[in-house]
Amino acid sequence: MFSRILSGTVYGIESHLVHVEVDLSSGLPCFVMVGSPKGEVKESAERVRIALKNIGIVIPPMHISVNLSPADLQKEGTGFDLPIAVGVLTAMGRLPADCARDHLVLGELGLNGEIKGIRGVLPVAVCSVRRGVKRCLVPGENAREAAAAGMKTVGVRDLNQVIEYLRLPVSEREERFPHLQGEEGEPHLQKAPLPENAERLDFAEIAGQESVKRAALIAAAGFHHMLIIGPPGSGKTMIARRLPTILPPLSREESLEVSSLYSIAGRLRQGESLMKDRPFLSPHHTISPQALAGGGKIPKPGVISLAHRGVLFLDEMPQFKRQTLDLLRQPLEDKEIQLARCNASFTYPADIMLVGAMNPCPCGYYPDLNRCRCTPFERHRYLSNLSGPVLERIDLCIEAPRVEFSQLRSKGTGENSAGMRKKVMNARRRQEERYQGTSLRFNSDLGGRELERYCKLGQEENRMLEKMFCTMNLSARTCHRLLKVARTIADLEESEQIRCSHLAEAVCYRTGIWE
Amino acid sequence: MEEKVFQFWLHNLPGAGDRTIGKLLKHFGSAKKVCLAKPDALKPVLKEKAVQRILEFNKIFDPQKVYDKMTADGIAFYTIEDEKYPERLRKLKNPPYAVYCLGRLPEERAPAVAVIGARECSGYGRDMAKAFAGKLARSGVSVISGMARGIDGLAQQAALEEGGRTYAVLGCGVDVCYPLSNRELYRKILEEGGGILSVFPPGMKPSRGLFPERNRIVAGLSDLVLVIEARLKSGTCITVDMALEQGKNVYAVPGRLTDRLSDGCNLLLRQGAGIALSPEDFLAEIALLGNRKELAGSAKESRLSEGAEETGFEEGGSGQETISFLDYYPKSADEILEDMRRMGIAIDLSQLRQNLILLCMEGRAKQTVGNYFSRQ
Repeated sequence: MFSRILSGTVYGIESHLVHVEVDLSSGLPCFVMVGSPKGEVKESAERVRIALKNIGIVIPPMHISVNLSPADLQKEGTGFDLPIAVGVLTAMGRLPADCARDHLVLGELGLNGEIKGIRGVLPVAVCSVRRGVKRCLVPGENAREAAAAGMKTVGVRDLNQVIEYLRLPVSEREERFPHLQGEEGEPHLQKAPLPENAERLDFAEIAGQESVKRAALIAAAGFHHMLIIGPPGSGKTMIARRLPTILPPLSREESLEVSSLYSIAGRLRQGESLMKDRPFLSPHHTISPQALAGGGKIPKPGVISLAHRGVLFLDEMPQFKRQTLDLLRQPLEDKEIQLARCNASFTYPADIMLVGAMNPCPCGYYPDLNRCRCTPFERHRYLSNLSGPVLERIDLCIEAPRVEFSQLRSKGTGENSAGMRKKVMNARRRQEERYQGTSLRFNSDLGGRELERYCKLGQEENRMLEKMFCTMNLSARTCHRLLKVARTIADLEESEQIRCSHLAEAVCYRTGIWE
Repeated sequence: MEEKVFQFWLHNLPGAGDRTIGKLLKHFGSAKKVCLAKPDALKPVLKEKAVQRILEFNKIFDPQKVYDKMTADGIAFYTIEDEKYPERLRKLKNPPYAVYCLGRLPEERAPAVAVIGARECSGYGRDMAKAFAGKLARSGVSVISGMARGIDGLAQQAALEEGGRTYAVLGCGVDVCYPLSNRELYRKILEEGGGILSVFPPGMKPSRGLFPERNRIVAGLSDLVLVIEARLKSGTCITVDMALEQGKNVYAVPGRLTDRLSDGCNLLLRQGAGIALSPEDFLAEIALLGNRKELAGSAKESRLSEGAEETGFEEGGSGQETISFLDYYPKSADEILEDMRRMGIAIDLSQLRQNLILLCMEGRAKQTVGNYFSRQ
């Protein structure tokens, strides 16, 4: 009396299909589980036994063995309850053999037989679709996730429903349990953007701050990291929060990637299938290094991975511990984060746009000497909390001036998000065309040699750069960053040549002046 | 041991200020007699505790050795009994018992002006300090100041650049360079024949309580006090109060009513301080006040705003327009843009930025931080 049910698990952020094999044989009555189950998986024996008892099915006193194959992969999570229960029922003969063939089964059981939602349904479903298994039985809560991956999904609420479904002949199933199905085709191959949630945030709401909005536009167009420096109440946070509204909308491919991460972290909102908006994460400055980078023996994705393809906003940047900020160095460079543990090394995506915000000095009003009374030493000490290597990776730095009352009353006359997004997408298109066939995607990716190739300067511009270099004490690195930003400005202005005005604007965004 | 060493010992006694020293000298007649007096003999003048402290002090302090080392380091020690003791200090109501001096003492015959002001100064203050102190130094006036960050240091710097003499009075030992950021200035003052003075023994660390006395000496060593920039209730105002107590004339550089850094100056003007309109004008006033030496070079007047003279801005006509919207205080590009638009000048942010950067490269404007610009 043997049965086999298909299920799956997530290891780090990789998903694997797992066969749950159940065997009932005579012998000393017990419930043995093998195949590297972790604590919560081992406990499932108890949940299964009692849930079955409570819906009126008594397990015969036999030797029950459960094997989770492949046996060497460590199994995590509570999703194995349901496949084990189905396996036991099949092995007992209460369900027809092969009733769950070609089905992916996932779900946690309550002691009364109800089925609860679990984490990581989306990535497992995606993995299963790729392997050709296209039907699934999942908790009702997760049904939309599985459907989004392109599966014919049956969302179930309790064990009785599962039994009823599996007892039906295959031909009648669809009639009784209408399948929830996602869009046709394999979504991970589609590039069309998803319709977004109705947006409530808009750049038009921001009064004044034209130069900061302009900087935000440039940052979004070239995917540059950005630092906003300004006194309290100058709208730094407001502007950062609106950045996702001018970044191009998520493509389906990107969305699937991001949603999988959220599904694993258990942060996908209930009933939501795919993420529609770009992530915007704003961790508090007391965040631990593990929470930022991802922590655990098999690491859970950290904030930096959850902000993948979106914005990671660090408010009050100097308040973050140096150690925490330093963690960002490698991910900012490589666009992924590598976490090495004793059993394996994990690589999580971390292609983020870093946006920092801070006060210019402890009191917040420098360079307004009528208000600021901080000494240069105090200012220096405040700024020195920022880790130099992280600051070095920030291309754009903009000071947000104090907002005057008159500007406040003038209810934001500036551009709205839709208009800005259009410009961003135009600039992105130019970048896409220019970098076709290379590994580059944005201007911010340009390295030293690529700069020479893609940021050629005319004679006049070269002279200007040289003069700026001398009179403003620029370093070679600042010069590189300046060129990258100038390239993006030129793209925004739809100019293939970088002009003097682009250079002049870019030089205003250098961080060096604060370092 | 010679009398000087005993005086040095007396001045180094812990807890003995000028008043106690005066009392002791009055009772015993000379420093040597104080030093050699038996503990019992000290009792009528000092409290039991103070006597104990002196005994303790004598165990660890070898005046001859410390004095020799100090002299070897080039630090001179003058008490009020010395002939070389600055005459201006001698005239004070409570003259300090002794001064230490590295380099030279201020010349008695040359007029001396204290140029003082805020540590956190604006671009305007910086320019004024340089203009006034430079002109004074060129005309042979000693510039006295506290070598602090901001106005003090800048004034002394300018004096040196003009080849003049300048003297710094410190709120710590003369061998301690405070603030450390002015160590270059400290070295230069000595090199160029100026002097570092203090009423505190060498090795003394700067501390809050010492600065009022320092300020009193700054005022005391000068014939006239010029305030460049000061906030209300600032350290500069304390110096001014002391100068007024000493009967010195105080001049102030006027500032705008909206600038908090000029509030102190404007208040002084309201209270009747002299108005320092230009370095030349100011020099002429010193001469009128009957100072000892005829002052040279006070003939030609010049406008302080000459920095804003046109120098032919080629790129686009609006460069000149742009500079007229700049100020000595850092203004953000947005603010400048707003002001220009209010005046009906159609310009967009990137054009403005380009103008500003060009002005910066020509040295006519200054980029305080990325988005903030001021007049150079």
